[in-house]
Amino acid sequence: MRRAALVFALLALASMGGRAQSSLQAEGPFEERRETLHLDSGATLTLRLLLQPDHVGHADRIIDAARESLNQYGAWFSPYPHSLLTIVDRRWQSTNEDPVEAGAVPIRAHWLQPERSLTLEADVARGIARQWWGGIVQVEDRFLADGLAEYAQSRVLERLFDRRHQRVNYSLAEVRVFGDLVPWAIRALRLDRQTQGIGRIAYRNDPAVDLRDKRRLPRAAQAAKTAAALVTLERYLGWPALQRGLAASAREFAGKPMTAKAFAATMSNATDRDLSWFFDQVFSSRAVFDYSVDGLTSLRDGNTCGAASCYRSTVIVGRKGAATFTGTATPPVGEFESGRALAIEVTFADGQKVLDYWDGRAPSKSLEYQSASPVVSARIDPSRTLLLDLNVLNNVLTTPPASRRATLPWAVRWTTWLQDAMQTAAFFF
Amino acid sequence: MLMLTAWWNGIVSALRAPLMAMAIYVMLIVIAVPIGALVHEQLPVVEARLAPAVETPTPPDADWLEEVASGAGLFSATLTPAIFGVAAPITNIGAVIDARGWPLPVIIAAVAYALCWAWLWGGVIFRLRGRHNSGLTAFVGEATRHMPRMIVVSLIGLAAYAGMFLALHPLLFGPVFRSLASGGLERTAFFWRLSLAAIFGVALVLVAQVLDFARVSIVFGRPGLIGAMGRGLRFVRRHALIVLALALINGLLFAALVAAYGATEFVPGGSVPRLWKVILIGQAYLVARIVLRLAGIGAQVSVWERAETLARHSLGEGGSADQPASETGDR
Repeated sequence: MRRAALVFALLALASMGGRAQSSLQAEGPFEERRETLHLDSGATLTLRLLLQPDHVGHADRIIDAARESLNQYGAWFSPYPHSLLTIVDRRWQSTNEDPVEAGAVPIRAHWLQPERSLTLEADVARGIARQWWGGIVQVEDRFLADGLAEYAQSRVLERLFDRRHQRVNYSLAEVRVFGDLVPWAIRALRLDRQTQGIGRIAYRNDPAVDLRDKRRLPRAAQAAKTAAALVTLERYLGWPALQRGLAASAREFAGKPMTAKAFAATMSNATDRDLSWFFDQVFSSRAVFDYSVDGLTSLRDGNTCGAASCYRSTVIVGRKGAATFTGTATPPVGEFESGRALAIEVTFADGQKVLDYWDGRAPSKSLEYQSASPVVSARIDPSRTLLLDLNVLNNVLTTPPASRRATLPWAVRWTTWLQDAMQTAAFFF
Repeated sequence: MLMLTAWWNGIVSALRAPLMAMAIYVMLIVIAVPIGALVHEQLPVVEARLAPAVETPTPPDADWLEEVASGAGLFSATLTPAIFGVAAPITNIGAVIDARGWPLPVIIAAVAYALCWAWLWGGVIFRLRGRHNSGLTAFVGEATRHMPRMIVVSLIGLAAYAGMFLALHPLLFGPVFRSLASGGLERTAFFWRLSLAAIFGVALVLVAQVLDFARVSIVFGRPGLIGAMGRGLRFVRRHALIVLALALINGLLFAALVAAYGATEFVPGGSVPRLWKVILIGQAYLVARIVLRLAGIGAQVSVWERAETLARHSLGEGGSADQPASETGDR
């Protein structure tokens, strides 16, 4: 019965694909290219490229990105159900929304596209991810479909960049000038998949974004917040557990609508953990995550620790946002905490390190240590599990306090940029 | 031939005036470094281990830049990937072509630099005219003597540029570009935009040349301001091809300089130069840019002198550089 429903849904999607492609045909005229892809799963798929005439030179890059995406998504989520996939290169300056249609992937390529900046590949990987999240699985909440696609493409891009440049990065930073027509890839500035790869800056700029807002404006921040939540889960649960949850969602909701609530429940079931403590806050609230180290003191206490005198050190960590990263939905009992999602790394002058944990519920927490060496630094969330943490600069305190030395290279580069801007301005006087 | 001679003379005279180039560079430093220090002061204090790029040859971390930039107050909007190496000149020139407004720190620095140049112009033209070191006192004397008129010339230029950016630019890159490029390919749009940029660029260069030759005219002993502007205008009109060709050569040399700068920003194998090398390379590029500008001014001075000499030969002592080409024999 279930299988019959699935087959019916896929047939319906395939017929929708025909209509979808016809709606995108208006963006032509196109140059067409066909490629038969032999996927890792053993399946064969025909890839049809409808390219703008000036983008034909990008065909190989698009095919490579499509192959990688189909292979990875097929392995991570579920096999791709169609035998034909059409990638439609939308017309330059087309302002229409990208439709989510089975068998048709709209992309927005540029004529000039530096090889080391993978924005083209990201668009392909994002579009193909939408074949699962929005196509095969009818995701009812736009932010969830966008976030899942954003997260998925970041993983594919990292693999592509690694394969092409032997480095684990997402892309090179790219700036565009001349009315966005001319790109420049900054070779010295590589991007990280787990931050720039998911557009985390959009979340940083609007951390309290309303995920239910249907307008176009907050869409990037909504997608970034959802993707950052998925990266947080990836770091907290591990990729195998997260992948299991994603595969379960893709399998369970194939051809069916999926709400954010249903997705959260499926993830909890698949990972065998109650993740409602996390999803409720991310999907249903505008509360912001922000943890910090607020105090660090280390004083001799008059006792002796072996041959040396003892130090009594106090580390104070705090919660600045309303959201809590607890690790469990089980409420605390009395004075006892419940959950240990947040790690606190305390480093002593003799090089020893202590790792403590906190459930992150209280507005602040004080940790005391007696040791032969003073504490030199304290850091909350040292492995940066909580990517939704708004401000990571307040996650660490040191003794003596940190100097401005760390930011000197940026100030130097900024000054050189200013000097160049002055020289450019000198043309006018 | 006149153009090539003038260009070569410009290069030679600029290279023979290293102290002048260094003095301009020092002014650039004196204005920019305090603002840079202010930026450094505004940046949040962070523990070094959060900053993976500090004095290591590993490439800088863009995520960290975003974190730091968000806490940089007034300067946060300017702390972008565009500050990296050759991206700086590309985006700064892009900002001019696209008529994007400059942020406040750049405007403040540019105004200060413009005042310095208003003082420098007289001395620079005087020095490049003589093509020999006439001494610091003479340089300072000429610079100070002509400063008020140079300020007025710059203000006239500012008004002209403002008109161009407020009227011509929006027209060219607004309705004209849209009507030419709409419905077409991106490649076609690029070439249309390039063509429009060339039109706008030529207009900008011509205005700049009129102002520059007005300045040259002032230093060459014809101090009347209105007359100088008129002479600058007539000179550019009569020697338009030479003037534009010189600007083109200077532009090509600048493009080569930017390309050379770009080649140094990355070490093959995946690392970036150390901080001290980044500073050294960046400053060397800026010094070269100053020398290039001086060479351009030197070439203008040379063209003016040559035209003036020809005019004297044709018309006796009363001849002037802005005389019609038919009268000076220069075409």
